[in-house]
Amino acid sequence: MDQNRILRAFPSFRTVLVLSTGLRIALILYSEWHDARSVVKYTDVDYRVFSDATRFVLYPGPGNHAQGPLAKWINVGDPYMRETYRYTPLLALLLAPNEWVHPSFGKYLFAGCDILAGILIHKLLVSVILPRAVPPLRARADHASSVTSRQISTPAALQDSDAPEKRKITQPDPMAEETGQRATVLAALHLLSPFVFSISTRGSSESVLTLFVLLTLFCALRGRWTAAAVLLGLSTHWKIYPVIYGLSCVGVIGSEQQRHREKPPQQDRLAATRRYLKIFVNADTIRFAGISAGTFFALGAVVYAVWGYPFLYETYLYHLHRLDHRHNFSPYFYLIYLTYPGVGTPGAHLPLWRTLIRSSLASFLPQMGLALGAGVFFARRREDLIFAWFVQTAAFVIFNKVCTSQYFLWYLLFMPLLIPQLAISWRRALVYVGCWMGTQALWLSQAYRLEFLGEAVFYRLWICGLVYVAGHSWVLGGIMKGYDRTSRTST
Amino acid sequence: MANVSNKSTVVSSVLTTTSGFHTTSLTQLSIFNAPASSCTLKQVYTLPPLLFVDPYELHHYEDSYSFEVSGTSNLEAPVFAMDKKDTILLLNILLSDLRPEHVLLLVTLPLHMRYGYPTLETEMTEGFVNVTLSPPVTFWSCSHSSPVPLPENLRGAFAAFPAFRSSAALFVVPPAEGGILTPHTIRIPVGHLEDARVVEFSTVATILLAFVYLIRIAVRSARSPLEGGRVKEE
Repeated sequence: MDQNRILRAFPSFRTVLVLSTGLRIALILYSEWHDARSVVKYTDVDYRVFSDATRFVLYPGPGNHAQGPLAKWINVGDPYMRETYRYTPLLALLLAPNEWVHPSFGKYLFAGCDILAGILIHKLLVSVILPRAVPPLRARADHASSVTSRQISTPAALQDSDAPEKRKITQPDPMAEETGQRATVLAALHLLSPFVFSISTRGSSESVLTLFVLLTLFCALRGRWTAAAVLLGLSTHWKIYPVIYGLSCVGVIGSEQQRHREKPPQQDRLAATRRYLKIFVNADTIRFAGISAGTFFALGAVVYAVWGYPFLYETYLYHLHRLDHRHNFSPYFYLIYLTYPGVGTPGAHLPLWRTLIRSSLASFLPQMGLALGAGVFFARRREDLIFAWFVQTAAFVIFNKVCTSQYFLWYLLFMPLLIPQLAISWRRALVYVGCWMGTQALWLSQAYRLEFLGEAVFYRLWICGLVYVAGHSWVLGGIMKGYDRTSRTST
Repeated sequence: MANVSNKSTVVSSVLTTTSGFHTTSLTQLSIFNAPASSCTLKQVYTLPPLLFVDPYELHHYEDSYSFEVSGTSNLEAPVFAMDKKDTILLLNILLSDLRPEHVLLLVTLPLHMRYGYPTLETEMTEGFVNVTLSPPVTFWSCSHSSPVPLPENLRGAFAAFPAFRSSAALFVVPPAEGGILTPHTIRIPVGHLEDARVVEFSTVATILLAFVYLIRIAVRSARSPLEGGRVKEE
């Protein structure tokens, strides 16, 4: 088969790793050369923000000192002296070697996180996902008939790994080799993606968070719920959005527990509702939530103790009422610009429907409804977590009031893991990719005209934002329809 | 302006572009020896509220100049969230001790534009607002024992930067004959307030339609083929 030929011809995972690492090192070295000679920098503005914040932390002085209750005993500066630094101080500390070793240390760190994420993706694919997956990119109709003859030992890969008597999946060697090569191809989607390596080598810190998220997923898929809870708390401290994964984790823990109990023969609606709610509220889920929340609050308390209210405000509270009036993918930008405080709709008192539309709830409710609802709908088994997290994250990003290209990385991260679980034809997949990229390209073309050519294209750009929401929602819907749940089996 | 024997001139001051949200001011200086050894070369820019500099970006030019900013330097806010005062930017241009008697210097200053007030249909602006940027004033700042009349075009800088109040004599570097030193008009696109109603309705409608579409698919997709032994329909 052509596919097997392609798989055999594809480089080994070690080669892909070496290539990916070399590529990133080359780009970082290039960035130093380029930035020294060009007014238009390769390095992202954010990297300058992180580096400046690190400098503030490491070199306290008059007017620059941490503001927490313990600050008088700890001589560190305030990273929030740096305007637009809205991250945890731990990131600034992480980049301390920028000052001690080399200014590009942070880029190497972020690139290293990319590589580690790629290794994790490969490991997950080989050990958990591919052994049970449907053949990739085949139409559902073709696949359905072959499923029953492939009752693969799915759950063995997902057994609680604390059980010493590991039931290994035994596959003939050619199958194992094919699985390994498939995993390499899929992991290469992350490692060799221009989107991924350009973001990290330009100095964006997204790869640190994506590594935390992947580690959380890794532990969850292996049933290591305590570790997953701690990592989820850490991820949420880093950036708030991973909190949405908590509900899906809780759903899986509760569902697994309930599956071990015998279902009562007949239940009235109240009993059935109670039984359903017990999925989410029981000793194990409370334990998970407690550990996760405890980690989040413990980290927050330590950081607050040193850096005080500026940490709370800039890292979390700012996002509650931020007004992103400048153009970005979200169509909300134009609405925010036209309704910004200080810009009045002259004369008239607003009718109630316009007041409601302008309120934060108009965006927050659909966003959180989908982001959390997807966790409730889809995460019933451990193997569904990848799909659930993908849908939750994509919905969060599409419906967010601000969206830049880096946000896409939050859900693209899951694609290599999700592809084996999708029953979508090649043609349809290409259409989805085309739509996903095309809507962005359309928006970027107008954004360029506005920002650099100074053309009055606000309205057109806003329309492109609507097209972006519609297009990406359609793609997400297609992926949801293509998720093949029929390969799930229970022991 | 005080008399000074110095042949330095400003050759030109141009902007790389006068439309869009980013531009760069390029000022070419023909510099001869300073009027006195105590003199330092400076430039003052008066930036209207629609324009701003990124102080963190200016650190990339630390080989060429150091700087001080008087006024708000908020990097994100639109003009209608700022106070209405101009920002005064003072550049201290670095001159190497080893430079030749005459040198041509290029002072590069990246500038950025804020979002302006959206227009009303009644205003015949076609969706743009114009902002005028005066060319910078280049001058020598020399210590002087007796008071020297302050050049008029430096009074704003003098008020903004108290450091000038030490006994300094300020000698403006004149434009070169035929030099390009005219104010620049930058055209910045702005939104239209009359779009607000359509934008409000259409944005929320699109969001809600997308939400309903995805919820429907989610509900259908979530129905497990294994529950109740029923096979999922294609």
